[in-house]
Amino acid sequence: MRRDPGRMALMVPGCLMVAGLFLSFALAMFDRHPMWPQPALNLSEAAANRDLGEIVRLIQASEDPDAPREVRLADTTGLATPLEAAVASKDVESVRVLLANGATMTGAVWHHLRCVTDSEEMREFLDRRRPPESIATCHSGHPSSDEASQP
Amino acid sequence: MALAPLYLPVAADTGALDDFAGAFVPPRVDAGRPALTWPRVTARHAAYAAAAAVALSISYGLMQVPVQISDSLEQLLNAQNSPSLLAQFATWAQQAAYLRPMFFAEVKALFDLAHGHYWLVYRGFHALLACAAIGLFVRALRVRSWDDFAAAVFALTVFTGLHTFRGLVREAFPISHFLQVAVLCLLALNLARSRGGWLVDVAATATFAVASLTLESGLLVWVIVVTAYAFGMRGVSGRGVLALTGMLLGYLWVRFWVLSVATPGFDERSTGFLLDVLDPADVEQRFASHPLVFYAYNVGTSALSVLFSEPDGGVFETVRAWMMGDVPPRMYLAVVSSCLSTLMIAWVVVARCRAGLASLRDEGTQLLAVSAAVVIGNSAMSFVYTKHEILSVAGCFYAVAAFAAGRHAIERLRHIAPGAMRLAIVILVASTATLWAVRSVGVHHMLRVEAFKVRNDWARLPPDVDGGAGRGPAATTLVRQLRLDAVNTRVGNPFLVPRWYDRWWGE
Repeated sequence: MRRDPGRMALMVPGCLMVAGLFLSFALAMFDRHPMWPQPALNLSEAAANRDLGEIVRLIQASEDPDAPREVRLADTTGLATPLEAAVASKDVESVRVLLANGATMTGAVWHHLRCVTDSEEMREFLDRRRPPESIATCHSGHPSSDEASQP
Repeated sequence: MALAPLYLPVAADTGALDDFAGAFVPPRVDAGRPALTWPRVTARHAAYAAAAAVALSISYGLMQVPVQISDSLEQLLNAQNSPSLLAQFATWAQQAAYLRPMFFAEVKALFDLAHGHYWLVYRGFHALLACAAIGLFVRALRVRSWDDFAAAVFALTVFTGLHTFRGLVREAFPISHFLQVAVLCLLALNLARSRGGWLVDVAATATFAVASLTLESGLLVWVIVVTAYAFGMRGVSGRGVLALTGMLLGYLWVRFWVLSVATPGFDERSTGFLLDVLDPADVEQRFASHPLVFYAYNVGTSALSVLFSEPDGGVFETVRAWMMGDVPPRMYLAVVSSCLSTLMIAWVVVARCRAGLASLRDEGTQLLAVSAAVVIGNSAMSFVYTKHEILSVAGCFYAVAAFAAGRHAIERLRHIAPGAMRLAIVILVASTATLWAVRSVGVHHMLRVEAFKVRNDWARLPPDVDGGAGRGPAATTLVRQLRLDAVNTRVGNPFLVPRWYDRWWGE
């Protein structure tokens, strides 16, 4: 094959792409496809990242939907229940899916979530799901210990 | 018959045969050293290998996407209720605005074939169609030299990188009938470029029959065969062309006279106009008194979107984004790459026009003529509303034209003396090829996002979801199984990848 500037100019980018795809496909055989990474998320992390499918899959696999777990963020880690993580990510759908699949919204949980969120949409959603025994008032945006502990 | 080069063990080689070496090896092979004759990679083999890598990679992505809910679940429930293939075909042969009974019959056929393995059968069929499209595309290019190979690899990136291709792999209903029609149109091109014979004619008529009853865009098979014949591709004979024309007339007669199936009206769908998307009511209000203006706009913007990737669905997205102060790189990538490749196509078109009638028998001219006819025909079919999927056949043939343009660019560059002009053109060609390669990789990101969205759609359904009012327990079992299949499909989370992925490759 002769070296020809026109031919090389047209061919090289496409060939590099094809080589990359071939390599990716080979890596897929070992579950390492670079375009399809599947990092293992726990339930709280799935909720924090709006991964509704993973939320349902993990709950179906008998994960406790109310237990706090470590959430790995870009620059820090923290402990949060799936509902807390979903509220923190301001994703109403994640909260709704968690509740539909077994997460428990007690009065204390509701009060805590209602007071920590700064999303108007989330507040409206939580207000519609308010348990009868819950307290609506927050002190400085955070629930006081006596309010949060009420049934 | 070509003779294999003669080899002797080193110890036994006395050099006595050196003078006769030319008789045993191909002329261009250096007789002084053993030629690497196995594996013998030809340009054609290399093109198919490249196509296979692209096809497998896209198929892998398609198999990660669950069967979608929107536009699919209803079809599956209908297929479940339908007593037979024939009943399904007959039921869907008469609709208000569409004539697509073959599509619904295929949904039923695959449903019966699946026996509960819905994801495997429907997604597998989608992947097979994608492989067929890419294989037929490369086959239609008839790669015979390394110049052809270079142009084919470039065309492959255009084929998979164009926004219309995204429409082919993004969704299935649960069969991607748009992709199926694209496959049939590429098959028609292959038949037109074949050596011919009565079997080819029969295959062409069968292709037209299946395509036209699958989707309205299937009528483009006729456009391809007739244009190809007019420009000297005689794979499908004159009799075959006449048969197809008769079938087209029969289709029109049956559709509009016997079945009274109309075309979609204003009230069917939302559609883009300048910088906004208009609801059917808005379209009715604005254009009811002068519909031709609206139709002309849709046809014109459809053709422009194939050639320049803008407007998108009738909306000038890049202009709108610019006015809003944030144009993501993906828009520049799409518009600039399309403008450059259209410029290359214009270059070859001007050259062929200058050559006049003498160029008519040239393969490149033939491919350009068929491509132009398909782009015009497909755009005309978008007169009521325009979207990526409808223009997918035009997109495939735009890539065919890109092949002719790439081939022409390589040839012309050889005749330009080394200097600033040649260097500038080489840089331009390399830039075009690079931008299209980057754009093509974006398909995989789009598929990943789509898989995530579809899985989330299923997860939104409650665990005790039923099959809908008036449907029995079998429907409930079907819906729950599809939900379970979708949720158990492991899909990467696009929120966990860097944001620039979406800025460059998103939608």
